Amino acid sequence: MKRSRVILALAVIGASLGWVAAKGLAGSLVYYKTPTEILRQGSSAVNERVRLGGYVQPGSVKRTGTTISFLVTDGSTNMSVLDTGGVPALFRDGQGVVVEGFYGADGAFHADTVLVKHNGVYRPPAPGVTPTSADLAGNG
Amino acid sequence: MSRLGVFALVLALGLALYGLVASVMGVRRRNALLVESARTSAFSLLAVVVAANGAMLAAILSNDFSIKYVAENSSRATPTFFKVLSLWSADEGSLLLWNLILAGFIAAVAFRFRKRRPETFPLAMAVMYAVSVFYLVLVLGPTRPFATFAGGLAPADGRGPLPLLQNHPLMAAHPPFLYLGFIGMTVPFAFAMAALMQGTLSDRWIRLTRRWSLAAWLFLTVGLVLGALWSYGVLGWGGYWAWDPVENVALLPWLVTTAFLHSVMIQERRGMLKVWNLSLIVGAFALTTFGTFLTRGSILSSVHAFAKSAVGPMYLGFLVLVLLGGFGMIAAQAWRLRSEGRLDSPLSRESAFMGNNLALVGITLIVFLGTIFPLVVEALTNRQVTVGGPYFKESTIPLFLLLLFLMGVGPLLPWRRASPQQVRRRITVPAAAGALTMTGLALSGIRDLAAVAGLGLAAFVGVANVQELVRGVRSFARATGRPSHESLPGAVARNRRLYGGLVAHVGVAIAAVAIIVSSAFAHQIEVTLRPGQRAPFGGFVLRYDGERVVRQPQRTVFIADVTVLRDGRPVGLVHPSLNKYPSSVDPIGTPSIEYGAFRDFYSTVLGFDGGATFRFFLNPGVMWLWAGGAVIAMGGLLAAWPARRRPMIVEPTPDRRELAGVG
Amino acid sequence: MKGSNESAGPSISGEDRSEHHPSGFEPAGSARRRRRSRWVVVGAVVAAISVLTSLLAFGLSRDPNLIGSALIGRPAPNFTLRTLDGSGTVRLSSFRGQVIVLNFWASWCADCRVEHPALADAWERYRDQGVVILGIPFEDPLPNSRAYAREVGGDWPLLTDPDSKASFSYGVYGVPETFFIGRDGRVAYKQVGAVTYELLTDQITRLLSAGTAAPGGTP
Repeated sequence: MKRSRVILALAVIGASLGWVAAKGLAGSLVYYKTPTEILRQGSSAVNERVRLGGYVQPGSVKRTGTTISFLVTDGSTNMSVLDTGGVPALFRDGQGVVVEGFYGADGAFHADTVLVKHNGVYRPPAPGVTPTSADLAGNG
Repeated sequence: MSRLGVFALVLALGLALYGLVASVMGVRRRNALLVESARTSAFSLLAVVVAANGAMLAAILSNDFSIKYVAENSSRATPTFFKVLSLWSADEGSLLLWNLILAGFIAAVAFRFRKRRPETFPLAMAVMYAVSVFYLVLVLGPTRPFATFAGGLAPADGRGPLPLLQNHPLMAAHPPFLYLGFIGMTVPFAFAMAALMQGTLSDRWIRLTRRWSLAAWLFLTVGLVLGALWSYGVLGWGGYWAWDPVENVALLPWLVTTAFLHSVMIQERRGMLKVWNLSLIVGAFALTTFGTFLTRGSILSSVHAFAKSAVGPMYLGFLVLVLLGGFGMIAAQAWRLRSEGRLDSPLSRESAFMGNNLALVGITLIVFLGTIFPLVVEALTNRQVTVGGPYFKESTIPLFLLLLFLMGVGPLLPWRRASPQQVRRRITVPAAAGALTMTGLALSGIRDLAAVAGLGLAAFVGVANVQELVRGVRSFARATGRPSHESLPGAVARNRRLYGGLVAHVGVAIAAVAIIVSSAFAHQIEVTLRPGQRAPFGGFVLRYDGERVVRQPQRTVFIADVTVLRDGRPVGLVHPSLNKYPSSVDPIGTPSIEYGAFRDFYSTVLGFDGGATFRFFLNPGVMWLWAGGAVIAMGGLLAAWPARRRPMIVEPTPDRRELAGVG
Repeated sequence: MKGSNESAGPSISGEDRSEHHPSGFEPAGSARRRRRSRWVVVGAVVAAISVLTSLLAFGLSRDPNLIGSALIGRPAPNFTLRTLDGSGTVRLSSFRGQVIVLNFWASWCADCRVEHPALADAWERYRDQGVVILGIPFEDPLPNSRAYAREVGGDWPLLTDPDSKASFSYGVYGVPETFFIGRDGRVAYKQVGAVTYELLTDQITRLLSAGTAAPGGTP
């Protein structure tokens, strides 16, 4: 009797934990896509939050007020990106970037976060040391 | 130097293997001499591992670039202070430090139990030696810190440490503390495993390792706080915790150990939760292994590649061994570990502790799931995803609030059973404080429900724990007939663990306030200014005065001078900078932080492009996070500090068996 | 007061806690049920461990590098760089129609020294067969690069990349990294880590023969 009640309580707790986690995950999963993939996906990609990966097309960076616009290319497809969230210090032409935001109905990618892929060494960070968040340093 | 280092490591491996075999044989043959020789070889092990670390340090300090590690992590221009840090600024070297700390813990255990030896001692030594063998094999096989350039191809100068790691002196303290915490978990794990292997059903192992696990928890706490401080002071994104996988895997063992520290008290008092406590300690140790696996085996970090050597599979193998061995032993013995007590009432300290355990383990599971979920998705669908910070925040907030609530309620409840009147009497003041806080915040127009609830609960926790502290001291004063203010040391000395816990809870309340306030009420702007231009921000006006360039031997610093004005009058100067290291194209920013009791003025410069682009933050309450961390550490220290005398308690006669050592 | 060290013994809460003896004072049915639930627990634990293990093993097997190989099959980004000895400039597109081995290195890099003899041997073997090796230093102060070049030798063109434009356009993460570019000007293969002589000859012969078969390349 007592035992079954304990099991029941644990099951309820487990289920609610699972529900909270599943709900949280569903809301904050961000897929990684290339410009080609987004264009191929078409209108179903509109307003879905994704990470767009590629290179900054040299010569495409323009600043107007607080908005920065540039082209992200994966080599075959270019996508124009409007960024309002600021860019990290090492942002420049030719740089590999991952921008986070959504693909708008206007055909442009609206980014609020720009992550720069960098770091020159093939060595993993020491445990506890968090150079990986340096990649995120620009996201404020 | 390289030869000396390798020689020392080989010797160390031999000693660790000897210690392992001698301990096991000593137990099997009931040979006290063998056990003793295994014990003393811990000191030799420590000595040779110190020698290996010393060899590396000497190589770094003497610019011996024939060793690859030195060439890649130090340079002639690196200041001596950061040269010393190079010892642990990359994988291979940090494994040397890891081995040093592990050997230190083994030697400390060998020293601590030099006279009185519990019957689990030899097998616990064996387990620790086995762990040591694994880490020594790692530095002799797949990662070789002493590897040299073949054929005298040593470069003339080295690369220097990663710019990020030589940009702040906190790198000196943060990794060693984390390692001390991680590796410290080996001791309780070893004693728990020894108890399981011997089939000892008593909970001696818990009492034997109580202070060891507390110490590991303390180090881990300090390491986490220092890590947050480093992240805040160096990375320049204005925050201190990003739910980055590397941060998460350091938090996980801390959560489990915190749960363990509470639930062992139930076992000590009531003989309950035996299997649970064993599982927690195995879980905590496995999570430290998992953490190092994840960060060193380059599973989730995007900066990777060469570590794809044998290290990853070896860590994985070790992790599986720990999990199967640990939980397997528990499963094999679980039927014998029957609970001796029962929960008498839901209104008791036991049930508060159990709730705390469920909340902590729940948070652990959620964070763990979020950390490895990208792997799950990729394994199943072959698509890459990231799990954003909102997941961690939103799904753990309810559990953290529950935890805060229990942290206030727990100390108010007596063991076994509380009478409703008793509870009502004790809870009135704290509950009133909490309710008042919440009402005040709600009336002042704050609509963030979680923030209001969290701050109210933090007030509740603070008042409840201070009240219990005062109550305990008063009743001690009554009992001894001395005035209250004089009885504080006496009362605390009599029950360090209780008062340490109360102090730590107050620290958590302070830290919780800091976390809530800083994440709910922070402001930031990003502006590009030309010299002389001004921008308004948070009641201030910021004027960019211009750029300065300072050349230092190891780097060039580009400083942006900004005057902070209030009502047209200058009230402060800030000077965020970008540092350019010759070995790296990427400039590394150094934020300029005006620390304040109520808010920090945090400024970073993102780039100089005609003018300068800044990001300014007003971060309220962050200072209290460090203060709260210090109070938590004080509480932990108070609880862990060895008591010299224990007045007013009749000393029980020591157990005969433990004097006899083995058998 | 509460068990602060091992000598405290079992007096802790004043309760007698003699070890429990599993001799059967329970009904047999309950024992059987207990045994069954024990197997359920063991099974669940083993299952959880194996799921985690295979997940982590999968993690080891894959490459978390997000955009590492985006260039494969695409036109190689062009660049014009000064040579390391300062004697002139080199433009990538001027080698169109040849097989290009683009090697990123640094003086502080251990594996670059390891792969250097292989590059030298390949250069000797293929330099007259329409193959060019270009070495580009990565995140390396100029004097150090020059000292390295003097020290290890090698007479294929070594360039400078002062603001890392070239390494950025190739998405170089670390050194050594080597790109193989076919006669059609497209990136055919990327090697992360040191190249071996076998790998160089394999890739180069493949690209030499592919180049003659495909009509894409224009001299």
